Amino acid sequence: MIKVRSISLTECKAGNKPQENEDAFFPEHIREEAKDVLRLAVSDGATEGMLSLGWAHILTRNLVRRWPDPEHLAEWLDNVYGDWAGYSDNYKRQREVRKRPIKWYEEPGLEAGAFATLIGVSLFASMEGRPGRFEVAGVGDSCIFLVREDALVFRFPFLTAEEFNNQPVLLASNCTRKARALEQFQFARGDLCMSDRLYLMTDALAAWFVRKSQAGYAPWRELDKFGDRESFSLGIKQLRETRQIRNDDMTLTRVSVIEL
Amino acid sequence: MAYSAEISRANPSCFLFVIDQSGSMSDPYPAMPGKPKANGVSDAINKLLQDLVVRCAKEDIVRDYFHIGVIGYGAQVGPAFSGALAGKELVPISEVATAPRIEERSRKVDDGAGGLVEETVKFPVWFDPVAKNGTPMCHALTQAAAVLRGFLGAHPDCFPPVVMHFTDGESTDGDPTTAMRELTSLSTSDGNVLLFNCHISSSPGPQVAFPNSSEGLPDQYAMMLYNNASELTPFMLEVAKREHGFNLQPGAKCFTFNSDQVLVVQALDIGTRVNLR
Repeated sequence: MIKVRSISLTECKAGNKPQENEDAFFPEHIREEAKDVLRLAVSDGATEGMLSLGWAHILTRNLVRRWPDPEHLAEWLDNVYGDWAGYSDNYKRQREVRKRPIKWYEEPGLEAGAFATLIGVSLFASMEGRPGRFEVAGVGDSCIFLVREDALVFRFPFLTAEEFNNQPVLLASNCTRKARALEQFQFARGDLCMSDRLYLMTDALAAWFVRKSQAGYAPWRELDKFGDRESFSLGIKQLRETRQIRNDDMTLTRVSVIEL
Repeated sequence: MAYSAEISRANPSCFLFVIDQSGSMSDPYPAMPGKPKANGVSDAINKLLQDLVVRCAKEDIVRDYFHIGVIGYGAQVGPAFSGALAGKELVPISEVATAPRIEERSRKVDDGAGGLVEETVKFPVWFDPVAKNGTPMCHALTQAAAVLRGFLGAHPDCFPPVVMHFTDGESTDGDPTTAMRELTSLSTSDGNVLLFNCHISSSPGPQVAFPNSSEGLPDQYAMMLYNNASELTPFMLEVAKREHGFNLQPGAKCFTFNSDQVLVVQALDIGTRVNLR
């Protein structure tokens, strides 16, 4: 069995309402749990586009509940597209029910579908003398970092701050873009040790994290201070005010391996 | 760094279109007989407004990331919106979204069997083609500066407004250099107002697209438009390269000369593609 303690924290873009936050994460609650395999995921719905948050939720839930085997990614995507079709059809029905029919300017966005980045991790217990291990999967600039004994030992998918730009790769909900989606997914794996800490985060926070580590700092120590929503919100506010971080929706999932 | 202000509902930016509506705009593009330049420009602006509204649309609302204005100059100088927005100088994009006249246009699309079929599409219209009288460019640009002064008073830290100026002829009310300089001297804490000068073709000849030098420009008039245009921002340079294949050099100007309809559309796209992340 592997046992972890995890917490996910999110803060909306300054100036927006919390319900306009288009980041999603799953599982959604602070938890300490033990299983043979544990999974967590974070997704960043694109600002431009319709139903981005719904798409981000669909992606995180699917990644956690049915981890995609790279060999069978096409079938995994088919399931995800099926969930999306149900979600967007239901949205359109609800609009009719609420007597708020879809407007002309919403039609192109609904036709094009939603876009999001995705990052997830699957953690495996050590078994039969083999060490514990992890697999990661993702699309775009949401990132995961692994810290072991106060050293950054794994970063994915970006290694340097220069890789972040304003045109991230985005996973589309439109199934006609499946061929592109198959190319966009990236996978990696590695060994896991007791007391390892993993940090999944959306791009604005990840860009800060990478920049600080490149400069020789240990940004995970700052993230470890955030124990609840209030402290995260205050910490992000300070980073924004000192212009260390771009104003965007921001999500952090922090995982500590406590038994392996 | 200039031109990096976040565009948000609390800190919106502004696009102002200044359109030559003089008599010569009723002439066709040299390469498109039958389509007056005035119609080409109004179609391009209506399509752009449609795209901007769509970009700002979220579930059941339009977020006011931009304020939009259209000033026409020809028989008269003033706001050039038609319909429900007639007479308004600058309106938030959510108001633009509610106000179009929806026309049906036809377009040819691939029939999947090697041929083309005609289909009908809805085309929102806010701005109609007009082509009459002279070219009071100075008056129009002075009015544009007045409109922007009001906006900048309310939004002193916004991403600087972009003025897209389209003309096919020389000013008939004097040298517009002073008015253009007055416009581009307006600023926010994030930089000066950006002015695009897009000259529309009246005769066949080579086009000039976003040069970084005035070398080879045909006359003093072209030089004046070039000299008073702003430089493309780094993000605009990136869009010009990535989306439109222009291999532009640093210092490239917001300037096109002898533009056909395609270049008009490209200039509009490059000038209004700010980052909404």
